[in-house]
Amino acid sequence: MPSFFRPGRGLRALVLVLTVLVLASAARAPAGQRKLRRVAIILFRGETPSEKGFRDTVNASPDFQVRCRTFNAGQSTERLKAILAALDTTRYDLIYTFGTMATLSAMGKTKQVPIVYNVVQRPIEAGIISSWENSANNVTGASNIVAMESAFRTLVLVLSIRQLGFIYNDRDPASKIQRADIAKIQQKFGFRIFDIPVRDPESIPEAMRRTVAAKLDAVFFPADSLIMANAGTIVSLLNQHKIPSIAIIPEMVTEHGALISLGADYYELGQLAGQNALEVLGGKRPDEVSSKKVRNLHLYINLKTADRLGIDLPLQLLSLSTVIR
Amino acid sequence: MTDTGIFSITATEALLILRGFLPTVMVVAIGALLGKLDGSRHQATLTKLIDYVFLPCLVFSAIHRHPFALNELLQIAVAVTVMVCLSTVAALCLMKDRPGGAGWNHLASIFMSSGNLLLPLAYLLFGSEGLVKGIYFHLCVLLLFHTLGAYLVKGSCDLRSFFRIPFLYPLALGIAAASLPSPGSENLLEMAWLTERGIHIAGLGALPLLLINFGYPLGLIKWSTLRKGLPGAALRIVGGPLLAFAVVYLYRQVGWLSMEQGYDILAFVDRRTTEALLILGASLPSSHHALRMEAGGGLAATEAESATLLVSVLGGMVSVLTVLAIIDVVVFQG
Repeated sequence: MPSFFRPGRGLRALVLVLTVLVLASAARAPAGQRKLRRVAIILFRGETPSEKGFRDTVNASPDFQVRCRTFNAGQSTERLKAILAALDTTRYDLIYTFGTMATLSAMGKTKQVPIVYNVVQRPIEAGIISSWENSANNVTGASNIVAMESAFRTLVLVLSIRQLGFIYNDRDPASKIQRADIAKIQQKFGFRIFDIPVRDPESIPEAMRRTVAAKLDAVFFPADSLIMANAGTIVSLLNQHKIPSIAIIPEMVTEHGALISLGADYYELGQLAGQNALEVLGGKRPDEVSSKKVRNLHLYINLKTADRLGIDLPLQLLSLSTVIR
Repeated sequence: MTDTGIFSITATEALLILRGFLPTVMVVAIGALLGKLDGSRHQATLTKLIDYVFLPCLVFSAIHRHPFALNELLQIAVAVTVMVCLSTVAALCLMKDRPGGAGWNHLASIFMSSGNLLLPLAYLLFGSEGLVKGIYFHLCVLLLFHTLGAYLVKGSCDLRSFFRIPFLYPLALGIAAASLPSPGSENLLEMAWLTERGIHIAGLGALPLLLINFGYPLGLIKWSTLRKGLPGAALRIVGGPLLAFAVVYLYRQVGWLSMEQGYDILAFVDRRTTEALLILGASLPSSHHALRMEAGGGLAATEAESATLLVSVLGGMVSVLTVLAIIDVVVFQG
């Protein structure tokens, strides 16, 4: 019998193996040893891939065990107000907000608890931060900013536009900022804006009737939560009347059948917001953590919609986009 | 279903390539048939109609909606000059001009059909962005044809005939219009849109006419002379794309057509379209500019030159399709 298996040695080997296993598992820093941090997630229109990106990033932290509690306003501004009125901010180490409206509402609620915003198109113009580097308040986050000129260069690659519909929530400051941006470039691209303001889901059918009657060349969707929440109805009606649509939010193309979108990847945005959240949870003040923008924009094209509208897509656009069939 | 992978998307792109390429071949074939049937009696009328009416409309319609960028023009101009100069060296070294040929054989292997073939193909495959780049490519080829090409044939440059080409003037007008703001007044804007629409429709009419014009003389070339055109055609349709790939590689290396995606994907798309256009342009069959110059100069095209044109067209049906597939994989998906 080999010497290793002599009586007494087996027991010592067993102790050695167990010790190694215990040390190895200790090195992985179990949840109990990571500092507990609580995050309130305030959403206006429910979960998007950006929340998954945020959770995946903060949950991967070796230093913190992050417990998130989600509050969803379900596209109701009244419910959003009620959520924030009832929110005990002292119970949370950080507040995550999605969109301009939720962020501005949360900023009205607390000046102490750090707020990490996400998917806000124009955080400076909306008064959320003073500059990309320094917010000068308790806010930091990630923006899905898209230069309107880029969006229009995408559009003119496939369409010749004379009259462009702009459908937006006239209560959302972010949409108004995007509307002003488009107005600046309409002379350069030689088109005219046809405004289609909506206030709530009930006002959408009338707005769509006007849109169809106006015989528009295309309709532009800004990054607007109300429009996004009703995108299914709006886009299917536009497609039915062969009106092409361009969006900033990729989900409008991937899920609702809009023709083309130029925008940020929401999961990547969530990751960026998560990185900022971890820096704040690690002890930095929000105004020390600069707001982030995605490194590159993505093109999404719905081929089925293009075929339905009879639009021939150039080879380069098709090859370099994410194509939805 | 969402897919970005090379294998899942290839079928759609292959279909798109065929959708642009097959109609082109068909219309050229119709042109060849027409040329054979009427003995090319109407070639001059057709050419004039294209040069003075339809092509200017196409050029203006494409250029005036495209913000002018000098860098874009320079990228294409330098690439075309390098490719044409290297092709000239290769043609002079590898091909012997028959006595009386006076450089004609060289022209057919050096110059590609940048007008009749490239413009319709660029539009069908790469849309309006491709067409604009195709127009810049054609401009550079025309300039080289009337300088280097004329020198090879006549021993002197012919800049005067270059400035007589109607193509140049809608191009200059289009660039000027693109640089000006659109009219502020509603009535003026309405009128501008109506005029623009008319010009655009006339411009689209140029696409099939250019292809018919390209096919027109092909029907008259004797098939028995094909063998004479083999070396020149090989230089044109094989050497051309090889040179273009080398130029694109160099451009990438020096950062002129950077592979860095950056924030704005459209800038990336634009750079890749320039590369694709350069390669496509360089791989096209011979131009029959030479034949047109011959008509003016009273010189007869040699059999070798005509044969080079015909062989490059026939071979181009395979080589251009192959090059397009390579462009899709190497340029767009690489």
